[in-house]
Amino acid sequence: MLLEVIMEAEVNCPFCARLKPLLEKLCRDLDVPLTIKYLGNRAVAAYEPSVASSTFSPEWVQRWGLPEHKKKLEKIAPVLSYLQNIGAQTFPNVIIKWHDGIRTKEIVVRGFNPRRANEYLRNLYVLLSTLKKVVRR
Amino acid sequence: MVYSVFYYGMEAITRAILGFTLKLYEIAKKKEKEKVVKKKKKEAPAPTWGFFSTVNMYNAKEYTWVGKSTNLRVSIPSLIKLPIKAHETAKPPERLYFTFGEAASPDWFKEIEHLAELIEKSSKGGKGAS
Repeated sequence: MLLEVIMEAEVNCPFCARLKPLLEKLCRDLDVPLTIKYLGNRAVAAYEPSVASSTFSPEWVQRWGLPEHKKKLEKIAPVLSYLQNIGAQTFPNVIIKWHDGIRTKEIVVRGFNPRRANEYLRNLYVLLSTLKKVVRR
Repeated sequence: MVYSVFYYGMEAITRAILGFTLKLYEIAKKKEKEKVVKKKKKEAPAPTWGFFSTVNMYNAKEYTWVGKSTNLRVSIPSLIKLPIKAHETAKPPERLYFTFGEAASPDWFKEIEHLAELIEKSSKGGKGAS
């Protein structure tokens, strides 16, 4: 699959429920495949590693983080490991995944605010339509 | 008659007591001997399989793994200190992370471009940034 949208959601998350139909409509209009992964505490795939959750781990910061982050890691490491242990995640996460011919690239957007949904969806529409052209070419 | 009965009775009792004490003494001695024998441990047979430290044809130390039930011999060179610092060969994943506020702002595409440029620079041979 060259271009796809993945939504990481939680069953009891109200923002996820608000975003889901909007995203479905957008993806239907643009003919882009959309998959919804339920990764919350009560979901079947609760322990599946999420793209968004991996950024909160000290290992991730140690390996891929910026030098500024690495400097602050000593202080933040216990907090990060605590967040990992309790499985704290932000929902919803929208992941736009595409392959440009060399490797797969991803854009991860954390969170959703229904008040600014129009601007967000407009941006997403523009991004997806341009990416679609890039992928088809 | 009375005398003989008492006599034999006493004799039997003393014999029984003496026999019992002597038996106890013998058992104690036997146990001591066993203890001495147990203290002398048998030497373990030379290992026929596992890791062996060997010297290769270039007089460098290495370990050889000899198989247990198979005729396997694997030489493992010993670790040496590298003169240069080791670095990771794997490339970082090309992921761009945004918050909702960033994604909803009109300058989102500028940010994407900027981050993509950073990734390109880092993939060419810089520090990890994503």
